[in-house]
Amino acid sequence: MKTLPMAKLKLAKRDFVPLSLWERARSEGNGHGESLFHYSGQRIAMTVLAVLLAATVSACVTINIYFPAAAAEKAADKIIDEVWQLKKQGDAPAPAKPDEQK
Amino acid sequence: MHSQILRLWMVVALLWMPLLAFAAADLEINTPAISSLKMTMQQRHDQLAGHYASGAVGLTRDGLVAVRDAALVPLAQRQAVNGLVAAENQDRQALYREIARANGHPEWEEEIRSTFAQRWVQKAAPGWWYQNHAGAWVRK
Repeated sequence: MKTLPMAKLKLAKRDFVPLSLWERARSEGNGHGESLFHYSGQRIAMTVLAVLLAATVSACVTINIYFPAAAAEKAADKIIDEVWQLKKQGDAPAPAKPDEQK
Repeated sequence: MHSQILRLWMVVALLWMPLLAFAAADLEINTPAISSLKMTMQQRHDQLAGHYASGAVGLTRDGLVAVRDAALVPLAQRQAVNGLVAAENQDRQALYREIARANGHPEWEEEIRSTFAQRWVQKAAPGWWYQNHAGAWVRK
């Protein structure tokens, strides 16, 4: 348990590797006097598309994971109506008897 | 080249749309298990309805039923009422579990139960007893 903060720190340092790559690419370019980032417009477009796709996919997953309250209510109403015979034959609900006699 | 890739991405994105609509559709409640539970509960209801009306049996806040006041039932019938309540609760538990399972989400059981708890009370006839959120018996 005590070594956990250290482990976290190491992991965090390693996480910065992409950033150093980024910096090197920026300063060195691709060896032909051009920056590696002359495609940045297209890259941004692709990134935006990828993010949109990821959002769409995660929206699907989200809807499937979260409980569909309205659909459940509808299903419950349907089952209760059948079990208690509230709407089936005719429109007279089961628990209504007093004025049947007269 | 890039516009082709772009178009491909868009098509893939659009292909998800029917799934969205499907996910928002009704819950599945037409399985053999659910149908047979509904049938037995419907038959049992003829015997339970009188006890709901007298106040002997009430609707609990967790979507089940319970003997609220056994004194309202003639001594000779008390055992039978206990049996009815136990059988009804078994079916209700099975019903909630089956609906969750039929929709591929066993973890929804508790939410289905609480949805039913509210709807049973909502659809109960005037004069029937139910438990409010605090667990106290209330007459509708």
